[in-house]
Amino acid sequence: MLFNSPEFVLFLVSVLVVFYAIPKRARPLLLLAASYFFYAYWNVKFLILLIAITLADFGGALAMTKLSSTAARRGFLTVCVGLNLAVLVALKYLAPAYKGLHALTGLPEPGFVSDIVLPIGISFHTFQSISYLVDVYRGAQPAIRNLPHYALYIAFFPQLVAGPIVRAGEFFRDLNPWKGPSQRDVLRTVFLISLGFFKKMVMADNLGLAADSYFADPLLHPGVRSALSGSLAFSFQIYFDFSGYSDIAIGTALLFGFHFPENFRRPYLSASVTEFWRRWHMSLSSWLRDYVYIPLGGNRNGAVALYRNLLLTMMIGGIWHGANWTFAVWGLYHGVLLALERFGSRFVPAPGPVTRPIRVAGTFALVSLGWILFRAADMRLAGTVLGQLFSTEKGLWLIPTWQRMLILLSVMLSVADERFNLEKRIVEGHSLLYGFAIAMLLFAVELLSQTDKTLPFVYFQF
Amino acid sequence: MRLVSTLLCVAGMIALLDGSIFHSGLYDRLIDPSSAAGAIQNALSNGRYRSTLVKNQVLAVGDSRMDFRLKTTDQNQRGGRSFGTIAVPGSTPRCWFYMLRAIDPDRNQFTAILLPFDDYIDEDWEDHSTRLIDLAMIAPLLTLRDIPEFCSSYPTAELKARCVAGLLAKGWTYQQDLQRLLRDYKLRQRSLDWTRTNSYATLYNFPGTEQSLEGLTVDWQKREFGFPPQLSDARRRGIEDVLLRGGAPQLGTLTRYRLQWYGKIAARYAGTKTKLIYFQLPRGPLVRPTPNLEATALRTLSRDKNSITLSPDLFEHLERPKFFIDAMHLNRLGSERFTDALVSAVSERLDRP
Repeated sequence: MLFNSPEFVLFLVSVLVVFYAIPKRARPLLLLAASYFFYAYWNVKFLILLIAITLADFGGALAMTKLSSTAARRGFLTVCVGLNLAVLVALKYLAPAYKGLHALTGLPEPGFVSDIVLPIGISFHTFQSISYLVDVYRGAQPAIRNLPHYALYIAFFPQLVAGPIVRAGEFFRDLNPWKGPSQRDVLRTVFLISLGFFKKMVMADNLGLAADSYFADPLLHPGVRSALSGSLAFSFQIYFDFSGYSDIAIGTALLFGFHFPENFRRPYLSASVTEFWRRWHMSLSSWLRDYVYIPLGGNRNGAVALYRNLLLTMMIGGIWHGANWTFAVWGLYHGVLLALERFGSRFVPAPGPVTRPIRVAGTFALVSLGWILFRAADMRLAGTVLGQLFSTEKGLWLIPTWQRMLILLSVMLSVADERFNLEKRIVEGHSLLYGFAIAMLLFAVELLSQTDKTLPFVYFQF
Repeated sequence: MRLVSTLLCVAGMIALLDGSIFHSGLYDRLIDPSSAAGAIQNALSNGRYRSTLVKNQVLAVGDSRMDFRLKTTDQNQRGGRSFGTIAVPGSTPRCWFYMLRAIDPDRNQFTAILLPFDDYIDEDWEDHSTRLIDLAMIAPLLTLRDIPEFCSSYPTAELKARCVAGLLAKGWTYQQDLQRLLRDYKLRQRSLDWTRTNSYATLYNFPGTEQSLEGLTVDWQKREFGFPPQLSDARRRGIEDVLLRGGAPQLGTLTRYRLQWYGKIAARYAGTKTKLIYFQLPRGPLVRPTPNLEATALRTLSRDKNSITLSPDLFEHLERPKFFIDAMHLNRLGSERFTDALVSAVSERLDRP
C-alpha cells in the first residue's frame, strides 16, 4: 500500500491506536506483525523470502560471535553476505542478464526467467542486512539475541520499502530502552509527513507527468526547450519523490519513538558533486562509503587506487538501482566526476560567497545531465535526449508556468532553510507559524495533487 | 496542551483557507464553463435570466435526452405560459433536486416542473446512486449542512467517505478545475467571457443536428442490427451497447433511487402552486422488447395530488430511426417534434380545470 493512500492512513492509525494501548513489552511484536502485514499486502511470497533471509542473517550473526578465529569469522561473514547478495542478484539481475544474452547471442531464455518478480524493497533490506552483519563482524554492533527485535529491524514498515537504510546501532538505540515520542517529536512528525506529502503529491507527481511524457518519446517533442524542461522535470521529480518518501518514513517512524537519520539535506544546493553525495540519499552514500569504498582501501593506497575505488564504488551504487547499462554508466559518470573533483581539489579553492552560487548552478547542471542517463530506458534514448539539448529546434516548455513558480518557491525556501534552519524554527516556533506552515502544505496537497491518478514512488522500483 | 492547540490551529487554518475560497462561492465564478459543474452553473444562470424575461414559466429539468428545442423569443409561449429548461447533459435526478433548490429557493418561481423518465418502468441497468461525478457537478450548490443527506445517498461506506471528504475539503473536489485554470488562466477568462455573453442565445437557439439513423433495423430474436452504411464502428458499438443491454439482476435499485430523488422534489413542492409533470422520454430509435417490470416508483409518485403523469404513448410516434442520431438522442427533426408534442400536452393538461 502506498504511503499516500487511504489504506495506509487506516493501517497507520490502527497500528498507532493498538501500539499505545498495549503494554510496552508487547509493542515490538505488534510492530513486527504490522510490518509483515504491510509487506505481505504487496505480495505474500515476498514475505516468505524476507523471513527466510531474516532467519539466516540472525543465525549467521550469532554464529559469528561464537567463532574465535578471525579467519573463520571472516569466512562466515563472506558466506552470509554472499547469500544476501546471491538472492539480490538472482532476483534483480538474472532476468535482465538472460534477456541481454538472448538478444546478443540468440541463446534461449530458461522458462523460469520470465517468472522472476522483483520483491519490493529488496535492494534496501539487503543492504541493511549486510550492514548489520559487517558491523557485528567488526565488533561495532553486538549480535542481537532477540529474534523478534532483529526481525523488526529488518522489516520495520516505515523504511522497509524504500529506506532510509538504517544502521543497527541507530535502530536498537531507540528500541532498548524504548522511549515514547516527545511533544516536539510529534510536532516534527506532523511537519515531516505534511512536507513529505507536499513533495510527493504536489511537486513530484505533477513534474512526473511532464518527465514521463517527454521520456516516453523525446522525438514527439523535439527541441532544446523540450529536452531541457523534460530533463529538469525529472531532476526535480526524483528529488521531491524520494525526499518526500523519506520525510514520510522518518516522520512515521518518529510516531513510534524511532529517530531515523536525515536522508536528504538540500542536495541541489551543493557546490560540488562530492558535496552532492554528502547530501543526497545519505543513507546509501554512507553505506557505500563504509561497506564498499573504505574496505576497498578508500584513499589510503595512493592516488590511482583512490580513483579506482571511487569509480568502483559509484558503479556499484549505479548498478544497485537496476540491471540496465544506463544505471552503470550513470554510476561511472558520477565516479569520474568525483575523481576529477578529487584531483582538482588541489588547485581549486573552496567556494566563497560569490563563487558558491555559480558552483551550485554548475553542480546542478552536471547532476541533471546524469539524471538523463538514470531516467532513460536505454542508452539510445539517453543519447537522443542529450542530442536534443543541442538541437537547433526550439521545442516547447513542458513544465506549466504554475509548476515552474512552485519550483522557484521551493528553491527559495530551500535556501532559507539552509541559512535559517526553517524546519527547526517552524516546529519549535509559535503555534500560529506552525499551523500556517502545515495548513499551507496540506492545502496545496488538497488543490494541486493528482488524486485521480495512482502514481507510485519512483524508488519503489529499486 | 501545546500539541493540541497547535493541531487545532492547523485544522482551523485549513478550514479558513478552504472555506474562504471554495465554500464562500468565490471560486464558483471561475469554474470552467465546459466542465460538468460549469454546465450546471451555466444552466442555472440562464434559467435565472430567463425568469426575468418571461412569466408563468414551465421549467424542464433533465439530462442530454431532454432535447427541448426552445427559443429565446416568446415562440414557446402557449396559453400564456412560457417554457424554459435547465437540462444539463450527464445530470441525474439527484442533481435536479439541488438545481431546483438553487433556482427556486422559495418554491414559487414556476407554474410547473417537467420531470422526465427514461422509461416509466424501473429497470436496473445503471446505478446512478454510485455516481461520484454528481458531487463534482453540484458541489457549488451544496453546503456543509447537505453533507448528511447527500453523502448518505451513496450506497457504500467508501463512497460516503469520499463524498464527505469532498464536501468538507471542497478544494479537493475542484482540484482538476483549478489545475486547468492555473495551466491557462487566459483561456479560462476568454471562455468565461464568451459564456456570459453567448450561452443563453446558444442554448435556446441551438438548431440541433441533421444526422439520423434512417435505415437502422433490428432482429431482436437474433440480437442483430442492420446499420445504415454511413455509420462508423464507434457509433454502431454505441447503439449495440445501449439497445442490447439487459440481463442485469433486478434488485429494485432504480425504484429506490427514483422514490428518493423524485420523491424529494415532490416533497419540496408539496403544498405549493407548482405542479410536477412526469413524462416518459422517447425511448430510442427502436424500442427494446419491454421487460416484464413495473413502474413502481411512478405509481407511488403519481398519487401526489400536485402531480400530473403524461401518457406513456405520448412520444411513440418519435421512436423511429429517422428522428435519432444515436441510441438515445433526438436529431433536429425529432427534437422539434418532441418539443411541440410536449408543449401541447403540458399546456392541455395545465388548462384542464
